Amino acid sequence: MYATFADGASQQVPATEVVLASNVAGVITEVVNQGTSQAATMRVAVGASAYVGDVVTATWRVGNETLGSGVGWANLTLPLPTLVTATASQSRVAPPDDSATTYPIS
Amino acid sequence: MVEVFSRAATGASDVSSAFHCNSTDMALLGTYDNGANPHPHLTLALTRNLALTLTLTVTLTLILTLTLTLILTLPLALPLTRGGPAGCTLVLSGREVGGGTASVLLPALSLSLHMRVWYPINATVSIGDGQLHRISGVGGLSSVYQSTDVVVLATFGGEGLAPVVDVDVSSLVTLSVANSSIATLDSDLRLHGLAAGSTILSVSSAPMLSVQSSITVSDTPVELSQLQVLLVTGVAWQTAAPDTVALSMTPASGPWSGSFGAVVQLEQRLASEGDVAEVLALALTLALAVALTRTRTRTLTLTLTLTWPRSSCTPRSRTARRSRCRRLRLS
Repeated sequence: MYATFADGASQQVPATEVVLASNVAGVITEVVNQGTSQAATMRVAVGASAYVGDVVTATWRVGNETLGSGVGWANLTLPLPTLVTATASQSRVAPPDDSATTYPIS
Repeated sequence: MVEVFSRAATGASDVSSAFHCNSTDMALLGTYDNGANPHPHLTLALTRNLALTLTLTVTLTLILTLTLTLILTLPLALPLTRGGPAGCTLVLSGREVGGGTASVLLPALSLSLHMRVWYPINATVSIGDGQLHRISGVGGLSSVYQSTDVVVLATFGGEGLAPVVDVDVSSLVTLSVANSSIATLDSDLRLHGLAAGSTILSVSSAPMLSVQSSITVSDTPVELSQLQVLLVTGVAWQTAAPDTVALSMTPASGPWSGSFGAVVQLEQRLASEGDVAEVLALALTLALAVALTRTRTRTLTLTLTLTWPRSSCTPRSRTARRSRCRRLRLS
């Protein structure tokens, strides 16, 4: 990540100094290891609803000092399902102790 | 770093003992050695079937070009002997202080190897921000100072050679900070301010080039104006980079150069549970950052320029890879 300052300068912010927080219930933030480096990610949570706006907040923190923060915008489209198809894995069902479960019936 | 042209002859005689090396200007190129050399930076060898081969393992801060002219007037009466290839080794120590053109002559075969050698004639330490301020945090003045990237750029040239400027040699040199209590340099060549004061950043591995730059660390606070955060699920070419790039050479003795434009589009597709986006923040000018925020457009236009010496580098070469203007950073 990069930070921009009022004097026009910008600098890289180490991932270890960035704290991510989710602003909405449908978003999960996490930092994953990618070999020698780390990558900050956000994941759409199970049960999330469609949402448009600032979903994450990144805070630059060094020790106990907070230097600044920024927000990330996202469009969670999550289209509603229009059709659900159910398929049984077995075509016939019987109680476990029923003789119908034995060969050659089953 | 060097592209070598070789041409196999049709003879079948071993001439290992029938030639020797000479040069019109060995002072220019360093030393040469007939036979084995423990430091074979550049090795010219004639093998049994007279195929001329060149093995190059130059790791110095030198740019070479080779143009091989083979005029084969091989007498068929040369003695045929067996054994390994003979060696004729040119050694570039890296301490040479001039550039130019020289020839290696092998009179027995009327063969000459013309060489042009670019040497670093000057260098600069490029510091992104020469004045590092104390960062004003959310709770007031913090104890953290700004940091900045450092790049060492060199100009290669020599007598009669068109200069090649701004070659990134950062990975080839050693940098040192005069007063490490004021600033410190990490392994990624990022300079961190530690305390108010001034110090000097210098290249310590090239004493023949006086390369240094001053750094000031100030207690004057500076506010963080923006942490630009983008959520990106992919990157696609809007205008793709070409598969090949035509090179031109101006002037005629100058380096090859070419350029092309490309546009990349940052994508964001979060349409179902479990979709993942990477959190990125871009180094943008303040004006561009504002435009991005308002329009939600995530398009970056890139203009890449490639430059490398005439016939000396392939696009895979170290010089081209580390060319500063080819860098694309998305995070």
